[in-house]
Amino acid sequence: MQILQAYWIPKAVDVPIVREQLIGSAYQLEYPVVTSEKIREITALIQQNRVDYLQRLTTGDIVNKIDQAIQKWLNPGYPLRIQAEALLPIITGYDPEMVRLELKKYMRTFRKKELLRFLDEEFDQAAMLDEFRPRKSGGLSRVYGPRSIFHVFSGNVPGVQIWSLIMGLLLKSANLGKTSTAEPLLPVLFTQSLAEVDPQLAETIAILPWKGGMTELEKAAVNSAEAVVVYGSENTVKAVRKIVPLSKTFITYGHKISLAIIGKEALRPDCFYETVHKFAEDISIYDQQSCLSPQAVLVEAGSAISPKQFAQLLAAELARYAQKRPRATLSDEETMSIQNLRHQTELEAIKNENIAIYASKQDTSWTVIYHHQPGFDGSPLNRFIHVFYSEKLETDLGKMQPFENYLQSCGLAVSPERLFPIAERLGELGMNRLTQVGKMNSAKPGWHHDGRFNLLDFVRFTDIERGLEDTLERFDPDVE
Amino acid sequence: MRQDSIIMANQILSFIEGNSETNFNGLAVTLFQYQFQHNLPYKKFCQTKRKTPLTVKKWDEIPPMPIQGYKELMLACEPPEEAAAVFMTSGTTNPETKGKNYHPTLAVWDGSMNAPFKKFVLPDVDKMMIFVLSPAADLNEHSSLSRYLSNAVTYFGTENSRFFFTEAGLEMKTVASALRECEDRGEAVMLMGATFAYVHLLDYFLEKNLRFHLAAGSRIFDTGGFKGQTREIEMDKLYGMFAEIFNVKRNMCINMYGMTELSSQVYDQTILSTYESGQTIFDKTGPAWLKTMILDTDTLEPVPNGKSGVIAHYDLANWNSCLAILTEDIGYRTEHGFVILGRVQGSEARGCSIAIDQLMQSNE
Amino acid sequence: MMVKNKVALVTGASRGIGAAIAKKLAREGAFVGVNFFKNQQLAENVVNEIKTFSGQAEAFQADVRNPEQVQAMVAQLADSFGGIDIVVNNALSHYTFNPKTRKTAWETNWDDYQQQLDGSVKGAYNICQSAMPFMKEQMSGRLINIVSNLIDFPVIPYHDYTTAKMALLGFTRSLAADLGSFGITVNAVSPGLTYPTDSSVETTEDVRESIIQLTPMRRLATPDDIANAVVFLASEGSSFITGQCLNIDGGLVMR
Repeated sequence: MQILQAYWIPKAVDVPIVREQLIGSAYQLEYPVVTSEKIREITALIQQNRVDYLQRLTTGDIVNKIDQAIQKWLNPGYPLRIQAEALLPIITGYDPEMVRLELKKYMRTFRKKELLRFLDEEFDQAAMLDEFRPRKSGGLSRVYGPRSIFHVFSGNVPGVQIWSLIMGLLLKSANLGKTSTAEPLLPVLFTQSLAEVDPQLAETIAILPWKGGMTELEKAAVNSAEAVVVYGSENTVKAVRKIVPLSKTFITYGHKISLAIIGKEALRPDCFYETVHKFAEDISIYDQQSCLSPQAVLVEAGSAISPKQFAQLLAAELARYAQKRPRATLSDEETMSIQNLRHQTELEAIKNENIAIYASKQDTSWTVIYHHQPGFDGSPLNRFIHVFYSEKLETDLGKMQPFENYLQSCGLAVSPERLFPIAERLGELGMNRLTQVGKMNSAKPGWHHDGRFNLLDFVRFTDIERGLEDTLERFDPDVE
Repeated sequence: MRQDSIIMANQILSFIEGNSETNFNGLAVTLFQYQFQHNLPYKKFCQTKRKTPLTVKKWDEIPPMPIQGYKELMLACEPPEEAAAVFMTSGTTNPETKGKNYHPTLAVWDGSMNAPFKKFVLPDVDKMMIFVLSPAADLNEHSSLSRYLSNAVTYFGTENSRFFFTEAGLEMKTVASALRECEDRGEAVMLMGATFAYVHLLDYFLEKNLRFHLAAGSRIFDTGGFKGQTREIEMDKLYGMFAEIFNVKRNMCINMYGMTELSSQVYDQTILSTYESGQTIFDKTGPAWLKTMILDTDTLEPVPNGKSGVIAHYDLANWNSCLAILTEDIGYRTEHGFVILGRVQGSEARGCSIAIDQLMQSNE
Repeated sequence: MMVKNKVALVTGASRGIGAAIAKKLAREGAFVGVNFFKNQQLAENVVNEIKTFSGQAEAFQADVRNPEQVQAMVAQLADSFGGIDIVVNNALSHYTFNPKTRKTAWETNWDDYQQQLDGSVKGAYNICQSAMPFMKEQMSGRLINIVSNLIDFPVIPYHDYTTAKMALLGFTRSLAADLGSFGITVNAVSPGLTYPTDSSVETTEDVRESIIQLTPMRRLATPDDIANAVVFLASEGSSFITGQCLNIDGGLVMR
């Protein structure tokens, strides 16, 4: 029996803990008993540790330390990586091989060079985070990150929590993360790696799991933080928004929908299979739980395979993928959501020959719904995709409009000359990331997450104006 | 009705009356063949599942029609315009389209209702005073529940049984005085109504601080549960209040589970088991012509006792539409019957992707 | 049962190898469409025999060389049984297998070749074209083409017949390459001289004997031997086999 902490707090704090057997493993997870007082105590401490230490590091130092922690994760024999690879599949239900591959791929996006790129993407000079730096237009500026950030993590797609923590570190903020019970582990393990690299750095971080909606705790955490960032459903975001005062920086990453658009050029005899194969992967990775995964695809007619054949081929490909990497086991709510939509479609298909359903026979592993008309639609997720027919893609892009508040990534496969006209239109509609089919789940470091800045959204600037700079010269005792 | 429909209906009726030579399986398969032949949308549905009279040899191989089918399709073997009655769902989920179940004759429906009603609700008496809190059939001809309640009063109510639901709604004051009269006379009474009808009544009685010491043998019949209603109280809490306000104990309370899409009902075995053995069994069960299956929500294969799944019913009395239906209710099987946990709620994504259920919610 | 509740179509199934395949598939639980060109009575006999053991079958007339007739037959079959899972292309243009009267290479004219190509290749082509949409719809299906071991070992050089069968093998393999991604397999069965059948009655005793001499298993193939192999290729047992040619000739051809 192994015992594993499902939380991280500075050493000086003592919390009562409860243990819980992790079903299907030889591990017990330790959870802290969280109270408002404890949260206040912990945040006070990490903020003090920030002042005493983190705040004094240069951004370059911080990047190096994060990189060292990431380097550890890139070693297949690293004990914490092995632990994550063993436990995440049990906690989340995702296929172990998928978790292994995706985790590895994800960690690589935080190498030093990527972190530097990430900083450069948003700041003319990252050194502004360390000191006043001259500006091209004259004067000098310095950037301050929040003294502390309260992160509300949610969901169980492993990874995004780490990205959020790294942002906090780069901004020299103390970080308090509230994990969801669906996946409390990865941020803790990552913080542990940081502690191995630099124990003092890890003392500026706290990761606490508690069940969302315990408003007292959330209020305590919000009050102690200068900035709040929330990941989660509309309901989660709304609930937190209520308790955050207007004066605080409040950043939300709500649930999103991604789509794909496949042109006839990608369905020529020499490439249709490749297109289908890659697209099936986009759907299958993390069972569409990640908002980067597509829920519907618009397929253009006029090439070697028709949109309907695309749907059939996609179904066969999803079946093969399911054999290779099975989908997670679902709750009754989730399977019934799939069953109900399947039934609805089957019944409609009896009356309407413009609808067809291709689905796994034995269970709800995968489902393809074919609509012989242009459109887009949301899916109950878990490898459930809508395929829509289009005569000409450009004419039908407007069908995305009903989803404009949720649009995120668009997988695109068309000939190059069509890229810009389509991109213009998609941009207008609110789509914020265009990517190649097959890579929809791998956003690149430095991308405009949900169409916005990342670090910039958190910071404030202090400017020294050129005039002041010049005028002060006059007061130099030595001036002549 | 066509000749073969008359024969089919009579076969079912004699099974219900216990006079049939055939067993459940034999009749189910025959009925499936009949429905496959005459209910064309159902036939197509079966064909997509590769289930035909050629392949279906056992009742549990008959493909169950999802209840959405009663909204989407015209499921009837006899011409719907000739139906003696059509029962419609209340359409809580989508008021635009109501599920419809056509009954060319009500003889089978009535037959299927009466005997189990006697067995489960009134095992100890032949008739009793019945007070009904929900609309009668004359107020709502398309409600199977109204038909049910009217039948109960017609066949099992003593002379002064009455309905308290009028065009103006539930006359709570009148209910109170009628109950007081029964209490004074020491006459046992049965209250009958939809579960949520009691909520208003109990609120009223609490507000007016009214309590009744109903005579022994009194009972409370409710149906429907709390799905989709504005105020949800746990059933246990409700039964606690029944005891407090009416002096009717849990073992004299009975919940009936019926659906527009079915032609038979299932019941708590509270009153029956208490009457027969003194032990109270709460689990639900139905008549011999109705079998209930609990299916794994992922594979739609039967699950072992105790494991939850989605409920399917095989109801021979549903002879004109589909004898097998797949509900959206979750439940589990027990040694004595089954337990209903209620309708599945929509699912939220575990990750950052918005799921269709949430999308619909935010568009509401 | 190896192919329970599957829907199968066997062309040229009124007699010989085709009839044996139809019966075997039915015994293994399939609903069988027994296709015939002219011999309605014989086809009905096959259907009736299948019914004696409670199997399911129906006779369908169609000239496999005629696309319209094939299309109608396949549609009718799929409509009455809800789909089509297994197709066995066994039909060919009439051919007399007589070692004594056969045409030599210099006597065989292009029309003879054309006739055999029409029966074997065009026939299979028509059937496959019609069945493919249904199989794609199901994302599964088994196409099985009957060739001949004469393509590997022309003991008697029946030029036109053997050429067409070899073409059918090429058709099989390239079809397999394109249909695999839809979950459809395409295979061939290559029988040795099969006895007794109507086609082999004219093969003389000495030829039969000489073939037996060369055959490791020391006998000729029976229609049931061929049917067994077809049922295997039609069943779940062969789920990952495609583009193959299975020789059913007691080891006469080894490759």
